[in-house]
Amino acid sequence: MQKLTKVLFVLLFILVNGTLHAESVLDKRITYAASNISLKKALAEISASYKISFTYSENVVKAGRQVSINVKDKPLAVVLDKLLNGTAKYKEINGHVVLMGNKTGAAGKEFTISGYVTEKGSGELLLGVNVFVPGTGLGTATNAYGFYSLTLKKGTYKLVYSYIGYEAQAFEVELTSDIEKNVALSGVVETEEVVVTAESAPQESQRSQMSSIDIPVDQIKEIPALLGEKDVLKVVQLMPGVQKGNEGQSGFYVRGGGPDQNLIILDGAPVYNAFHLFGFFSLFNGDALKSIELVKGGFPARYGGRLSSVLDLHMKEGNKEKFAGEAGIGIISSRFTVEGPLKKNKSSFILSGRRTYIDALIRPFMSKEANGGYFFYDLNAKVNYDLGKKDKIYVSGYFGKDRFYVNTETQSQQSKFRFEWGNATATARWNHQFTNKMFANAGFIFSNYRFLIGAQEKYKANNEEFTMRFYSQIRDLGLKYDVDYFPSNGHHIRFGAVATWHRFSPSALVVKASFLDENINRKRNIDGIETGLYVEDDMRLGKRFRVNTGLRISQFSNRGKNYVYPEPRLSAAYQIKSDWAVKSSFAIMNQYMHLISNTGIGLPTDLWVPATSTVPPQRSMQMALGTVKDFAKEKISISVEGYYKEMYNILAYKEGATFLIFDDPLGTDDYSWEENVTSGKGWSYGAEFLLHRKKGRLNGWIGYTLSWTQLQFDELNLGKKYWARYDRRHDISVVAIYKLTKAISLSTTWVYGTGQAITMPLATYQGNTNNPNNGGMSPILSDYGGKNNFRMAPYHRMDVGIRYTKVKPKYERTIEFNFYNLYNRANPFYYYAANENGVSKLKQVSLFPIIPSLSLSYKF
Amino acid sequence: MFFNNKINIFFVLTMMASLFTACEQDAKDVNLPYVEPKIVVQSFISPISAEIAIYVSKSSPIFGAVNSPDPTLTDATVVMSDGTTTATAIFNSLKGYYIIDTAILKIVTGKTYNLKVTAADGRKVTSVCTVPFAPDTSGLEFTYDTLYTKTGNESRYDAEATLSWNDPVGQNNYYHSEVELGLEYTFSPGTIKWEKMYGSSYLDYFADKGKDGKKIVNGILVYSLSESNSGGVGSTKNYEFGGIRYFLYSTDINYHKYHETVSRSTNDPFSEPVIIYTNIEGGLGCFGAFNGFNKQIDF
Repeated sequence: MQKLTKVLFVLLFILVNGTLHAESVLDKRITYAASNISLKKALAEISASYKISFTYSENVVKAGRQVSINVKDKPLAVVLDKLLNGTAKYKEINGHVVLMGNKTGAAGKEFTISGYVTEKGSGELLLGVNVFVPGTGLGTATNAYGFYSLTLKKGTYKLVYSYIGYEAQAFEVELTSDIEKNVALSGVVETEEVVVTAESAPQESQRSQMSSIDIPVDQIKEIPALLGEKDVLKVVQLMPGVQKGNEGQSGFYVRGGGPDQNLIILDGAPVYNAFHLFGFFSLFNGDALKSIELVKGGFPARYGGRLSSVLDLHMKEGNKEKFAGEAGIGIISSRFTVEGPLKKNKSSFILSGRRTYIDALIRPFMSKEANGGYFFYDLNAKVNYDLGKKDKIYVSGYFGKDRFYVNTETQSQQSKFRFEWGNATATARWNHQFTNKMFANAGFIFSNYRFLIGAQEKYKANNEEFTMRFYSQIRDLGLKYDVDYFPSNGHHIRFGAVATWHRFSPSALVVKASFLDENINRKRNIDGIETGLYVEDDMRLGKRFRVNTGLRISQFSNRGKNYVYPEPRLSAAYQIKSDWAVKSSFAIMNQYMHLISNTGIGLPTDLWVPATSTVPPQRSMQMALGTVKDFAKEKISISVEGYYKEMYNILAYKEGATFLIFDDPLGTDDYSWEENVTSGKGWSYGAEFLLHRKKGRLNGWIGYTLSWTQLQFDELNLGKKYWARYDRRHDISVVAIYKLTKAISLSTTWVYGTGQAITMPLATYQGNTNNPNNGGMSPILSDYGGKNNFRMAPYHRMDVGIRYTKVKPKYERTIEFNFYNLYNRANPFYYYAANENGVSKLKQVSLFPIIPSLSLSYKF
Repeated sequence: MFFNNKINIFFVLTMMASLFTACEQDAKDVNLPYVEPKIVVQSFISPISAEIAIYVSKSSPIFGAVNSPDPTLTDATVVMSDGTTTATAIFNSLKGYYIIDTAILKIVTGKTYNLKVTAADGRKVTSVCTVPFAPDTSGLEFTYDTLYTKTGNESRYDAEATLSWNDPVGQNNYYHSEVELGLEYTFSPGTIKWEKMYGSSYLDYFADKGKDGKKIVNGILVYSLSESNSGGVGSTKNYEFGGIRYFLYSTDINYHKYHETVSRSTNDPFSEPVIIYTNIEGGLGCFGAFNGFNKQIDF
């Protein structure tokens, strides 16, 4: 019995292993050569020549795969290793060779494919490119420096690289070891409806991020603009949840937040005033920009420092392969961009500038006695250098200035007045790729914003001179370190730290005059240190659930006062179907600086001030819930989002407080803004609807926002809640771009917004008071009927544009004709009362009637 | 000069409007909330007042027909009641307000009073207030100091005064207090005696918020005036310290909020508008009460 057991055991062993006895079939010597034939055919030929039986499932083993082989007198095992190349396993069972799938055992090992995605022809790194395996949900996207890393199990994959405005590329990748793969995508001009393939990129519904908008720069260029000046920020304001101020107001309002609650970052450097000419033109020259993303809720932990939005702008790096340029001539300004390699494929630069010339045009018509003008200019520059495969250096800068000036001369005196403001930013960054899964960026950041009022008077009689300079400034120096870590396909971890030194000079005054005993030099700087530490993980939990969870610790210290707050962040998406998701988010934000508005209309004279021991930092809590559905065939995505936001410690002037600086700056001896402001609360909630078509012959979007924004300050409006100035019940924007032919495109925008709430005096009355000594005074009081009791007329406007592009062998020329305010709507800028024939009437002043414009640009 | 007034901001706005083709027209697509005049009532009652004065007028809407007759309403029916006694006020055209004799309606500490004003056109407004307790005088202190100095041709008059008292614990108290220094001087055509005293931390209307039950100090008041014998501006000559006087009232919340907001209001278009408090139901103004004392020291 024991013997029998032994025999059976040996037989079983032979059966299973087949290698113990005699010569295994796997040791059989084979000589075989074939080139580019299917695996199935190769196996069939070997089977026929050597009488070996192979057993396998064609699907599991991928028998259709093309193979090439040339072996002489090698064991079958070696031949199979070469043929299967790790894509399948094999075993001998009873003289048969069985081929099996690769899902278990050593074959389950993971490998990483990583690299950079660039634009073909320019070498420009592309950010946000989707890199994915179609139909599997496996994938990633390139980071801000064009780097991607995807870790997958050993195997063969079809990998697609896709980006809006570029031709998608697909590769079959055999992942048997770590691979470095750099991909260049070429731009595509869509003139005809393209049939959508099953390989279309992951859509809005497949991202965990919500409440964010990215707008292709090319789409911005197609949208009609005032005087033909293409404007990034104006386009952002056409998105639901983002509202523009009134005409003549700078700043934008995101989900009920004030204009100071938007973090605008250009290549990592904060920009404190993003507009030229009182908000009519944005600071950024679109030609120099690569990408724009606006986040209005569900903030990832890597962003901090503002309550309401993040507008992340990236400048182009400059063409790495050849010299190229663009120049444009408009009615009020001209612009140029040049870019090219400094050392081919190693280093490149871009330089872009703009200047207006209204002042130069009107100068001949002005007298010597009184002349004045206005101009603005801006300059963007960037240089990059590849230090090697793993290191890159970028240095970029922005410089812009606006200036109004008036010079007058009379018989007795000469006066000069100027009013100017400007931003300067500089960023130096060093990218380092530690491994194929870990990418880091170190940055040094500088930002400066200053506005200045200067007056100079010279009295001819006694040659006495008086000069005054009043300015307000904020200056930042920062260090930043960010790491992207892709440990496996289901995780993208980001962590980092940032430290910024802020120097606030809210109101500095320098007066020099011969009649003064002593010159006045009053400057009170307030220094503050702001730091942030964050970690976030964008992870996939199962096939349908994506979560981005993170924590930011933010800190600010100023004059011995230290604030530290944790900021938990969460956004989650659940995919109901492959093209339909439900998303929600939660974020707590802190902001350690305030903008005190001098006028309420957002002039550049608004002052940036820090949180102090008496003026606490602004805080907010925001929740959002939404759904997004993609219609791949129609290339449309529709999203609906609801949000609720609470804001604490937001700042406003006390009632009766006189706005700073303009009220006799000489008398404001150490004017304390802290005593003139008061803190309160804000609530904003609403719903946003967006239908977006980013691609196709007809593209554009329809946005609608229904929202409510209220404020409550103990010291304002008798402590009662009131509508914020920028409370807007309805906000609609329609943007449509239609490519009529390859050369001609038509575009139109229409916007509508409920009027702003402002405080309007409705009546006056006698204000008798009680005082035993002076009998009680009786000033004339105004009855406002409550703060922001009056709604300005709704704002609406339509713009249209037509673009004609001609491609010549050496250059491309675009002629553009625009109508701003096509139906000549008189949108109110401000109101006043006027007496007409014994009747006092409410009158309005509006700024822009219908304005046609023509502009011309060349690209070479 | 550019810097010493509000030209700059105005200049900028005008530049903005003129830089572009600004267009002016009647306002369109707006609703003005009201254009009808409202009834305005002010009355501040106190056990220490010799009469009850009630001012009644109407507001003048900014928009609509422009007419500026005296806004005082002389033909209204003004009735005040303490719950048991009801008195009707009589308009005094000399003083320009309605009066109730305190012999008919006595104002008593702690009592609540109702006021009803009916205009000739039938519109009615009402209000109510309660008379507060007088400030506690047990811990009241008043100190002052005057100093006269003469250097060459220049004479200087300096004075400072401190008024302090104890705030009762556990209740919301509102105060109205002022200290004035009297400077006597000759000024053609007559003699002006009382010159208001201004101080660096001068308090008019204030609440005990954050100071409940503590000692309240009404500022350190500093008055400083220099006079030069070399002539110059005006005939500011022959000054003499005439005396010093102060008052201290506790007030009800209506009195406080109304006076406090009125004191901050300004017609400066570049100031944040002040919403004036009112407790007149259906109208504007204030019905408030105060209680306390006045004190005068003559030198």
